[in-house]
Amino acid sequence: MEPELSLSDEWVLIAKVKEGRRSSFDTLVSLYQHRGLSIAYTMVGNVEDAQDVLQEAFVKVYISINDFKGKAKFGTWFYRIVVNCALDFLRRRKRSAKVFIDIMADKDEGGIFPEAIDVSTEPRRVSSSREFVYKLDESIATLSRMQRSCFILRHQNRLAIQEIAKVLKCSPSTVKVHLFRAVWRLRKHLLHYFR
Amino acid sequence: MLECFLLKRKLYDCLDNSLSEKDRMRIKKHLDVCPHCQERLTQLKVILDYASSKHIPSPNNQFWYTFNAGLARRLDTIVSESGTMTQKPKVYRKPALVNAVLCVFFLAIGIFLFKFSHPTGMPLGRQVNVLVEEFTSSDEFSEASELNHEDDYLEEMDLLMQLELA
Repeated sequence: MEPELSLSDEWVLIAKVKEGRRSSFDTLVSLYQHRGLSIAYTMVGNVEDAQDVLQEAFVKVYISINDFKGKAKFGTWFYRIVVNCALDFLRRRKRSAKVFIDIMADKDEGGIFPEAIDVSTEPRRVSSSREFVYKLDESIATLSRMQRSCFILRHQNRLAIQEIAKVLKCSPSTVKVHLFRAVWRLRKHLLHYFR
Repeated sequence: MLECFLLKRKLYDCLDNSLSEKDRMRIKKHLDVCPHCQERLTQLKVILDYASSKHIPSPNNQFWYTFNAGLARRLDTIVSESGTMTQKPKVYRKPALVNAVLCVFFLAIGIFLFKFSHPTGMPLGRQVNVLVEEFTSSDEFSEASELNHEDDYLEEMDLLMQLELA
């Protein structure tokens, strides 16, 4: 999933995009589209909306590529744009609760996507893992913007805390606090499933 | 119970593998004797396990073909609307903003001076008129005084001529 390109090669590619070469931009898109879709999907909850969000993010990258000075890695800058696009999308549509229902529909339909990964650590006291997953997604949607972003980037996209801090423009300790609060809030929401 | 409260935060760090060796040992010791915290830790672990095993789509080539075609269409529209993105003239917002603020500031001072009363108690516009009037009148006065001086001079000259004739 991670782009297989050295930092200097990436810089050359970005310089060419700044010169206006569309083919270089297409290469950049192909390098980051999988990770971008993963972040967008975990944020908005369904593939169609994630596709729109990702397209919007790439358009923003193309428009403002000259503003990228290289202080952070391109990936970090791009993930920040994807997260902001996703949050804008959620704010615009006000349907963050509904989109998580669509995840289950996506799985049922089968469609162009492969089957869901089996959850290996099935808890004994959780009556229905399927229902638990659904409730978990619903609970994630109720978290605050920062808590949700931190949790999704950390536990569903496996970004390091340092990188999340750069993406969300805050300190690593702030990220840790948001993560801690998010996890305990999720536990509170799902507590009756453990009894 | 106090230990439970103090270790509450560390439980998440424990699952996130961001604990020091000392803290890990401390938690391990506590967990051995506290079933309540053991249960909490298991619950958090279940939540994180389920969250991290969430099905992330890995779409096929057809999806990406459609995606790239859509993106290319959007980019073409943007490029055709605004010309080449790289040749876009750079607008420096900060100096423009500073100039705008300065203009507003000086305009405000100008309006204040002309609209509101002057410390002398007279609007500046009116005061200018008064000053012009005063100046004109003083000019007339000086002219008059000059004329008076001339009359005096002529009178003096007449007197001298009369003396010479005498």
